[in-house]
Amino acid sequence: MLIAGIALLILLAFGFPIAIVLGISSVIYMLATDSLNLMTSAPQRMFNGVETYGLLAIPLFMLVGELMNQGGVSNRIIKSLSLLMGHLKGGLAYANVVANVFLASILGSANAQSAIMNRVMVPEMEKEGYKREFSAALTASSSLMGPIIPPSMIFILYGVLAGVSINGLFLAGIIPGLLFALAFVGMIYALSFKYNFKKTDRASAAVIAKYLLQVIPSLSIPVIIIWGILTGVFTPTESAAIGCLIAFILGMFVYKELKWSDLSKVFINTAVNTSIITFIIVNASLFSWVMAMERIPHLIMDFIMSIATSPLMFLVLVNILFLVIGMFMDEMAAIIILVPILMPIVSAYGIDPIHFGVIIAINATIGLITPPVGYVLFTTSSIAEVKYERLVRAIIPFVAISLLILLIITYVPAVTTWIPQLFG
Amino acid sequence: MVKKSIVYFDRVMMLIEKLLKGIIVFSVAALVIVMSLNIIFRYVLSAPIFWADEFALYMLVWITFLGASICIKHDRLPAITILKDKLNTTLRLYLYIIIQIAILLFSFIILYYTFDWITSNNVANRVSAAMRVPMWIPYSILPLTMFINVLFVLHNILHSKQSLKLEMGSD
Repeated sequence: MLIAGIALLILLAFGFPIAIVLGISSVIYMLATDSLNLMTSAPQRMFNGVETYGLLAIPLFMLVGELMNQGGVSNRIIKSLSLLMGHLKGGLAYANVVANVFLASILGSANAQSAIMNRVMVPEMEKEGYKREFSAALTASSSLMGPIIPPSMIFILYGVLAGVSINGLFLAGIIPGLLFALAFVGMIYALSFKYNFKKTDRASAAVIAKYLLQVIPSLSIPVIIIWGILTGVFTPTESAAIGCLIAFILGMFVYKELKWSDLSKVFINTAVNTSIITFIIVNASLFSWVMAMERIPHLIMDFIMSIATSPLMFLVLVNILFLVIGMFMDEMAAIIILVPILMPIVSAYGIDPIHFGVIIAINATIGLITPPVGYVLFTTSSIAEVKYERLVRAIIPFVAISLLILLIITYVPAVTTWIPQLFG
Repeated sequence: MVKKSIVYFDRVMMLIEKLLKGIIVFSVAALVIVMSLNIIFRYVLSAPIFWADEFALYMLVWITFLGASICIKHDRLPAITILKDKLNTTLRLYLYIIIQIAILLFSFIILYYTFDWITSNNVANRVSAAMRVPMWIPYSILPLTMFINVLFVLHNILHSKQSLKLEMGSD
C-alpha cells in the first residue's frame, strides 16, 4: 500500500495531470485486484461523479465572470471607483481594493478577478506613478477576496464535498473577506507616507455621476445573490443563473460591448475552465471509491488523531498541510482530494464544518499567491508584465498579512460563525 | 505517402475539435437557457419545468467530459509542473510522451468498459426519470469523448516535438 502511495506521489511530482493520476491509479487497482465487477460499474460512477445540483453553480458562475469581463461590466465598476477615490492620497490603490470587493461579490474565483484587474488597473496605477511590482502585487493579493466573499467556487465545491449548506458558507465568508479588505487598506495607508503615493485630479461631479449611473445596474447582481441567500428564495445555483441573465443583458444591450460572435468563445472558455475542476471530481470519485475499499481514510484518520491531540492542534496541522500543498498543487484539486478525507476527523473533533470550510477556503486562496507555484502569481506576472521574481518579492508583505488573517480566522471562530448564526 | 496521411489525420483532428466545440457551445447555451427559464416558470408562472434539473445535470456532465477532451488536446489539464520545467528538452520530450501514453491507456480502458456498460441490458432498457429519454443518449458522451481522447493523444504524440517547442517558446 505504501509503495502504491509513493508511486502516486512520484507521478504527481513528474507533472502527470492530477485527474489522470487519480483515474489511472484507480483503474490499475481494479484490474490488478481482479475486481471486474468494480471495473464494469466504473463508467457509471464517473458519470454520476459530477451529477450534483450544487455543482451546477460552477459553470454558471464561470459564465457570469466571462460575460462580465467580456461585456465591459467589470471595466466600468473599476473605472467608476477609480474616479470616485482617485483624489485621495494613494487613491488608486484604495480603489483597487474596493473594486476587488465589488468584483468578489459577483465573481467566484480569484483567477477571473485578477485577470481583469491586472489588465485595467495596473497600467492605470503605473501611469500615476505607482511602482509596477507594487500595483501587481496589490492586485494579485486583493483578488484573494474573490473566493471568500460570496459567491465562491471554493465554497460551492467544499459545500458539495462536505455536505454543508453552501448558503451558510457564503454568509460565513462575508466578514473574513472584508477583513482582508480592511487589512490591505491599512497597509496602503501605512505605505502612503513612506512612498508618498500620488493623488489624481478630482473628477467633476458630473463625470462621476455619469459613471455611477452606468454601474448601478451591475450592482443588482450581488444584491440578488445576497438577497436570495438571506431570504432562502433562490439556491446558489439559481442566483448564478440569474447572474448570467443580468450580465448578458448588460453586456449585450446596455453597454453594447458583448457581440453575438463573442458568445461561442465565452461558452467554450466557460466549459474548459469548468472541466478543469469537474474532471478532477469525476476521477476523484473513482479514486475515493478505491480508497474506501482499502480503508485508507480510516487509516489516515487514525494516524492524524494520534498525532493531533486536540482540535486546535488538528487545525494547525491542516493549516500547514494546505500551505505546503498550495505551494505546489492546484488549490481546487487539493480540496477535492483532501476534504472528503478530513471531514470525518472534523466531526470527530466537533469542529463547526462551516468554520472549517472558511479556514480551508482562506488557506487554499493564500496558496494562489505563494511561490513557487501560485496560479494568481502566474496570471498576474503575464498580464501585468512583471518579472516573476520581482512580483514574488513584492508580494511577501501581502502574504504575511494574509497568514495573519488566516490565524485570526482559525482561532477565533466567532469571526466566521457570527453572521450565519444571526440568520441561521 | 506517410506525410500525406499525417496531413489528412491533422485535418480530421481539427474537424473533430470543431465538432466538440460545437457541442460545447450547445451544452452551455442549453444549460443557461433552461436554468433561467426554469426560474421564470417557477417564480413567475409557478409552474416549474419538471425536467429542468435533470437536463441541466446531464449538460454539466457533458461539459465536463467535452472540456476535458479539449484540455487533453492542448495539454491544459492541471498538473504539478515545477519539476517538469527544470528538465532539459530531451527529457521533457520523453516525459511528455510518457504522460500522453498514460492518458491514452486510461482513456482506452475506460472506453473498453464503457461499451460493455452502455450495451448491457441494464442500461439499454433504462430511461431517465423526468425526461423519459433512453439513458444511452446522455451516457454516450463517455465513449464519444474517450474515443476522441485516444485520437487526440495519438495526434499529440505525433506532433510532440513541435508542441513542446511551442510550449517552451511561450515561456
